[in-house]
Amino acid sequence: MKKISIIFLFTYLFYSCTDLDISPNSQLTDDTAYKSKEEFLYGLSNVYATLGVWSEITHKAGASTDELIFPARGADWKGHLQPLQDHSWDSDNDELNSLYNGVSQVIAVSNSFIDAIEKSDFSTDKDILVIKAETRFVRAFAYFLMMDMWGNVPLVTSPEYDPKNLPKQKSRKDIFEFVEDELKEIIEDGLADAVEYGRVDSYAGKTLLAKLYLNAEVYLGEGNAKWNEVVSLTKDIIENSNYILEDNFKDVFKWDNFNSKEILFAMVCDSRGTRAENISYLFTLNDMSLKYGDFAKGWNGCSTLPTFYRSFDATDVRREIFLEGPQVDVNGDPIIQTDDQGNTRQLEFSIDYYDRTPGANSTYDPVYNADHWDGVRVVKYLMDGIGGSMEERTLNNGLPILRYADVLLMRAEALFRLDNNSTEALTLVNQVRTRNGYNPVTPFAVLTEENLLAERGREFTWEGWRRNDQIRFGVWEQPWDYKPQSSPVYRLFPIPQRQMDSNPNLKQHTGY
Amino acid sequence: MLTATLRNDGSSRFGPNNRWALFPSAAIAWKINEEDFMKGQQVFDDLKLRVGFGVTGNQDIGNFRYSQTYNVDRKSGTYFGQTVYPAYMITGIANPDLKWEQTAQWNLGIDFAFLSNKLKGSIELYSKKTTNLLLTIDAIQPAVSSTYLDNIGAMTNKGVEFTLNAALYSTSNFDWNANFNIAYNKNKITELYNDKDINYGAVSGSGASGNTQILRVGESIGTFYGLKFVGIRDGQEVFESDERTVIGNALPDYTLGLTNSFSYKEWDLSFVFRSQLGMDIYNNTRAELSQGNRLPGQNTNREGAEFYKSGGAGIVYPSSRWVENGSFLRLDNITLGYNFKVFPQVIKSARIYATAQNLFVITKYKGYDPEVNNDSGSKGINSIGIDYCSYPHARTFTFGVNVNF
Repeated sequence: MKKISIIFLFTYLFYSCTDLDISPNSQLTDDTAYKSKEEFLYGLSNVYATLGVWSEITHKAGASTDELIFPARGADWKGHLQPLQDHSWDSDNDELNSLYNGVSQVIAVSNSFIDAIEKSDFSTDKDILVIKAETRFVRAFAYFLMMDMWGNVPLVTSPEYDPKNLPKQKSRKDIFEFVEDELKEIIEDGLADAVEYGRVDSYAGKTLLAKLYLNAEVYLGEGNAKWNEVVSLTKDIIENSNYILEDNFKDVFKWDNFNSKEILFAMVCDSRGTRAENISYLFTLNDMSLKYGDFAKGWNGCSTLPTFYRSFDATDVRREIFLEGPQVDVNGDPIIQTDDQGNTRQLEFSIDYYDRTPGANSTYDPVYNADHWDGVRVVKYLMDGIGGSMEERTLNNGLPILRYADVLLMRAEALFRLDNNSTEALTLVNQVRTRNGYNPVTPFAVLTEENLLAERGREFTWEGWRRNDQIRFGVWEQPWDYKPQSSPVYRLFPIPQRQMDSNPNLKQHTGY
Repeated sequence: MLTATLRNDGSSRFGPNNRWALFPSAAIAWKINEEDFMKGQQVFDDLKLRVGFGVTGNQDIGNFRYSQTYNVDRKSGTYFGQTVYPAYMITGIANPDLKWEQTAQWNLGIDFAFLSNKLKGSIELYSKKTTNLLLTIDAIQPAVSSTYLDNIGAMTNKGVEFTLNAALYSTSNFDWNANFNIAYNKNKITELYNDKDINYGAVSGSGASGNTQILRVGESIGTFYGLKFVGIRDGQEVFESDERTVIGNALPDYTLGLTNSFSYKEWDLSFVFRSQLGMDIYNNTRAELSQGNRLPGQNTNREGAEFYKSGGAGIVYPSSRWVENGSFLRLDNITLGYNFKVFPQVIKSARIYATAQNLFVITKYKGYDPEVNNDSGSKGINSIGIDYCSYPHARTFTFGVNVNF
């Protein structure tokens, strides 16, 4: 019988490396960060840097308005941007999902920083309290955007991420009241009266609060207007702050607009090192390097629409932001390129979108299959760099989010809503329209809803407020240019399907 | 024979409560042909039965994912006035409950040899279960990142492997040996977070949108998911319904290999065949080129030109129209060599040889190469079997000389 031998072997180390508590040496943690006052400026910088999403909002949310379109030019740009223009998007729209995520990150980063401040040794330091108030402003602005674009969203103010405790939506009214309360508190006590560029002061807080109240009927329903609140807030800003209308419209958007006395709140960008990027010209230009320099080889995406472009008087200084018709290089000579039909000729951007080879088999469509030269382009942010020409791809010009012209026009609108014959309203609108006389356009004799909305359009072209304005003025469902009549369901963007897949507590808006 | 080990592994990549995990393993082998009752039988030269069990862990996730950390990034901040302030950027969503992903595996194997060890081989059955799968999923907003790493889900892999080595012919001048192996594997996802599907595998190309793969309980990983294509009518793609459904799978059912080596006097010849059967490939390259709106002006393929002529424009990307069978047989390597003697005082042995690698592939797949290796992973999950401009394997010819001194 064969012996079966079994050998057992035991090995056990009585002492070995069992200490796994290590901290990262190259990164900061909650325990090691914010130990000195200076570090809070880095934390605040992180908060403001998340506002880079504003550039995406101005273009993508803007693509649903009458001022901006991202047509599919042949196969280029084909995707989720075209349904934004004709109001046929659904909850699977990737562009809208990206906006939702971007704005949500602003909220989460703000929540995290506020928590870090409160847990730090400096939680009652007066400078840190100002920083905390500014963070609350940024968070309130983000919730304002969530409420404006998506209506009823979860209201989260804690930085905890707990997949077992999924957030539930609050009503649009709840979010409105949260934004209102936050702003009132930090205006009253927290925000400084004057700050350096890139940070917000109490007047920026008041401007955002006025913007919230201006739209109260949209957010809270008919009968809930708060025009008087807008009137009193704007009076305060006009009388007590140092903000003014720049004489030269272009100065608001120039390369070094950090000195602008008109901008109250901006998305700061600088080629020398900010997370936020201003590459707006890349979205709209095609290859204009002969005019603007090597970096201006654009992606030929968005353009403005014919009715909007034609709403500008020929003498209006603001019309100079548009590139229309035959294009020339920096010396004034024609830029020669090859068009979609194969002809080599002078580049020209047409006002109207039209089929250049009509025929029985043509598949042309101004939204879904447009020409590469369709549509007037916008160069709002001047591309003359510090040395006279662009030295980097990213522009230095910050994107204004709230500026003094808006304060004046909000006041005018509120006064007009209270009394259609208000002379002050007419004066204010004309003041902005003629830019205190520096813009040679005929002032209005009479103020109407139509010309007030149109003037806001001309003043804030591609600055991210058109959708908000069109909805408030009740024209969102109407047809324009290449958009048909649409359903009021589309006043709100849908909760992204991907968010609903992750969080079963979320409910979609009716109609989607 | 019995071997057993017990490991206690700790990783600092996981949170303080989950660092350590126990990994046992044990194997028993029974050499049947050495038993008394096998004495005298002439059939088996070797017969061994093996049963094994083991647990291994996976901690391949990067460091400090369990807690919140900040990166100081000079170019990711903003300006206050004229001064740039670097940002304290939060690196990701902390997950303090992260723990080891574990795979428990049973295997049962038989090793055998017949005919004076001229025929040897083994059959092995295995069953693996992976739990606490480490996966990146969509983060629930608001969050500081759009993705979240968590232990979610479980999957199983079950299969059979068969190997055979044969010394087919052996004389003083001529030898012929062959090796054949075949493996069958079936993968199934058994658990996911909230039983929710995860869509991944983003499609690429102009106008492309959507994901074409899905992780779903009850299906294998690498499952393709999209609309079922029926045909083209009046310049429009027609689908069976608006509902997306399972349209294929990127994992092969069978993997096979065959090696033959011959030697005749000074010559030697060997070739290696490799095959995978039963997997599908999503031909994203063909999809993009087949759109009707590439003309006029952009290059297209025949399918695209015909679609254009019938009035078609764009296509739906995640559809079965682009899912093709990728089964293939590839001649991986064929080598012919000649051993010769020259200058025997100095050179011990010398051989010249010629090798061709990837000499040919037999496949029905319409793309360049059925073995695709680009990753269109989205949401942190690597895609499998999506061919977007995948570079084909090169065919190479090599000539060489080996000299031993």
